Amino acid sequence: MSPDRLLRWPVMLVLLPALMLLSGCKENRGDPAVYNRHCASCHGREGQGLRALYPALTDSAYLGHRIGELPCLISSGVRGKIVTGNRTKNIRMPAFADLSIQEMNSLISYLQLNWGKGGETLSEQKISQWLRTCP
Amino acid sequence: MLIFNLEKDSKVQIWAGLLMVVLTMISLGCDQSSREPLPVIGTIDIPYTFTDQQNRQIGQELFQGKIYVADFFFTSCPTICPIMKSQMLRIYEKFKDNDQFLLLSHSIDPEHDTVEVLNDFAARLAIEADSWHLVTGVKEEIYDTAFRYGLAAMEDKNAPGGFIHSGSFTLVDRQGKIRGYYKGTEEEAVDRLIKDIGRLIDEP
Ligand code: HEC
Repeated sequence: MSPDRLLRWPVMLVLLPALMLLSGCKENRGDPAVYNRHCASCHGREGQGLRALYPALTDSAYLGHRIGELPCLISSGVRGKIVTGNRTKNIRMPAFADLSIQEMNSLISYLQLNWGKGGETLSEQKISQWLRTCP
Repeated sequence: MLIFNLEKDSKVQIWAGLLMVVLTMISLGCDQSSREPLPVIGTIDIPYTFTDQQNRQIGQELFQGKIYVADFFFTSCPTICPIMKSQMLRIYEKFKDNDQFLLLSHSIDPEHDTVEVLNDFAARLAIEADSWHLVTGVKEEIYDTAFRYGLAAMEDKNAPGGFIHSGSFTLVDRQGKIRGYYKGTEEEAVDRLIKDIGRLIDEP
């Protein structure tokens, strides 16, 4: 057998899995960049959360009927109150006030594509509109 | 050997041969690392007492004769702590029922992280206070303690959350000797830590 026929073996071995991977990834899951940089440390790469400390995003109302409140939640953060005895303390999510509209759009599209309940079509205009309604 | 004689069925032998070489290398690699004892890097000597999430005084006596892992964090940390804590939880789940083993997490933001805050934090993580102590105390003493564990911690207004600190875990044996440092943000490093804890448990 000639050496170049022998070479086909390893080439096939590499190509087959590569093809399988590519065909599996056809589905558009959006750009994870902003999420992985700012959110994944608490909410997890897969949006799974961490027990009762950081909520999972996979089943959040903010990715369903409350999606219009999500840009404000992200830009102002969350101050959840915890009351222990006669004291009140904050467990909170930091505010991400410095995200640009483009980043916000890319982030929320990513959240919606992965863990959303569908419905709302997003755009930068819509997001800046929602941001104007922040309390 | 047939390797250079490219007959029809010799390619099967080449692949089989390569597989053997790789497997041998892997098994050799494993053997070596688990036979040598872990190095002794330093000795722990903490002259302070801290307060844990159950409002109990925690001093060095508690850790005598115990294997334990120590780290430094703060509850409002926006960046690496959540990852450290999810990795620490893996260790906790593995060894929580072993009475020779403990976890010790120090808050480097003790003014905010009071006993109540630590208690709530522990409840949200659903961890038992007897196997995982979260402690608060005098700030300077905690920073000095970090230094004694070979880890860095300091205040910095420009850092996210206001503090800079090491994301590493320190492994301490029954004699109070430091036996290893592990990046608390990396799953593979923590896999190694879990193995090393097992090795310390097997030490006489
Ligand atoms: C420091 C950890 C941390 C980071 C980083 C973080 N969050 Fe959060 N997030 C929280 C906490 C804690 C809560 C719950 C607050 C509460 O209710 O007390 C929360 C709540 C939420 C909620 C509401 C969930 C629900 O259904 O109640 C959403 C949505 C959310 N975060 C999205 C994000 C996004 C998007 C990012 C990145 C831009 C992000 N978070 C970054 C800690 C974090």
